[in-house]
Amino acid sequence: MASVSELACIYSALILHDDEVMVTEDKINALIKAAGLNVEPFWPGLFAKALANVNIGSFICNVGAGKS
Amino acid sequence: MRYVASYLLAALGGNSSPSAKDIKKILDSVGIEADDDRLNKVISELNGKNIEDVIAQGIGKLASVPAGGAVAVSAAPGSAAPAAGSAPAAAEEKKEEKKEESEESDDDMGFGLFD
Repeated sequence: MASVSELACIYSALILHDDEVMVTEDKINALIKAAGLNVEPFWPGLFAKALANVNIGSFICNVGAGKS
Repeated sequence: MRYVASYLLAALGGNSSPSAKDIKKILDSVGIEADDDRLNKVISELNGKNIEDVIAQGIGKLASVPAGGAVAVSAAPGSAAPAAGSAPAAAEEKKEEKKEESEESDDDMGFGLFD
């Protein structure tokens, strides 16, 4: 199970993606701060870079397929 | 979906029963609009429930469904496993939004698997 920091970044990315807002480090930071969470500073940047070239929608649709 | 994800985010912050105000604050921080009705529905469904239980239930449901069905389950709430637990609860409200997209993928994937 992912750590709290990772989960925080993941949920933030999902929120942004749902509204078709670009997933950037600043936005992830803003969300995490608004939720009153504390994450290690490298996570948001890491997630933003990792997800920048990825189609998040396809991840979501393939959640079930990944299990097998 | 954004309501479930922001609810989960708020809950992660140690707040086991986030209020509508908490969630709005989160969404406002990135300029995302929140529809009050949907927001309140998500909150009322998830309120007081132990988030880990909800996630565990959701994952259990995903695991027991074949890949095609799982696409439907996860496409309907449109969120990853954590939100699948609230799929039954949120399914109705999400249905209208996601109906168009998920219907098409439903038909294709479903028939393909059960041939």
